[in-house]
Amino acid sequence: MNKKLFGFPFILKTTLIKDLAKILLVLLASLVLAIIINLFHPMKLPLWLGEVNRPGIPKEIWEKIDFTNAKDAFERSKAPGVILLDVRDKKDYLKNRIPNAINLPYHGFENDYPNFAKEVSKQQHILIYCYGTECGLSARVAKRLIVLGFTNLTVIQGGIKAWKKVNLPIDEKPISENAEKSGR
Amino acid sequence: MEQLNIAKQSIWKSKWLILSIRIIIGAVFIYASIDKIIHPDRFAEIIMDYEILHWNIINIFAIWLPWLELVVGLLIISGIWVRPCAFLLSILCILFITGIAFTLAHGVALHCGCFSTSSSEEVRTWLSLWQEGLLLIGCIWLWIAYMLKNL
Repeated sequence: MNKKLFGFPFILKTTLIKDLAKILLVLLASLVLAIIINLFHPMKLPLWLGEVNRPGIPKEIWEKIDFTNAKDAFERSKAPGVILLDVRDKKDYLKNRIPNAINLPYHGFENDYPNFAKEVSKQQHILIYCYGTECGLSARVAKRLIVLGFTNLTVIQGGIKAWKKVNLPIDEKPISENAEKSGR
Repeated sequence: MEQLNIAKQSIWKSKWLILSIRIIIGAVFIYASIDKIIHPDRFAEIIMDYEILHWNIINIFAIWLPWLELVVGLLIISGIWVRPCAFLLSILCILFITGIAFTLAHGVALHCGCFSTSSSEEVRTWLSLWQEGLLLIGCIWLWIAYMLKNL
């Protein structure tokens, strides 16, 4: 009863057991609350991914995103008014890009979106790409754009890597950040 | 020695100090939960970037953790079940620090997602772990103080 640890009294075993029960109750209660609130949340996430391939994307939004391969994207990009959107980091975009693509990096989306919104209308067809197959940034940016009211979005599966693999043209002329800003 | 023990115990039993730490810790976790509750989708993206959890359980984790932070934060501020909540928060802090450290060690640039789900948040570094360290110390302090309170 009077056991000490470094000069401080040591807790009784039964108190720890009671605390553990309370912890389990808190964990369970918060889980139930989270699941119930998720049912009514505007960005309701599927608890089990199933058909939706990416965590963090609600099913209703996933169904609005179109996916295509690099060759088909190339054909579609020839139509007037179609936008190619590079969502990779700015430094990678400045090194090389798909010709005529504009940059809206996922990291920094909130900062760059206002300029993007001035240039691109919400009805325009936008072809989005990022690094490669495992890169989920395209779907993430597509989700954000859908929430903001954009209606015609297509993700290029495999990104710029797939584009290069089928020998489609790449613009490898380096651009400085100042030139990129003034070009807008 | 006896006087030293008495002095040590009075620090642990100082009502105002315990109350202050309780309010600060509770408020921090409540604040941390808000943006994640509003944007669980963005929080799920951040968790995915850690590359620790299997992708199939990321969504449920993204939904659950912010509510856990909110519930525990409210309990601590209210003075209800403080000892078990402080212990639970200590475990959470250790998991956060471990997760961030693991990812930094693998050279992955990531946004913590601790207080914001914005993709424009600054990338975490080793030095920024002091915030989580401070939180952990506060939670452990609270736990020990409440352990002593009941004896």
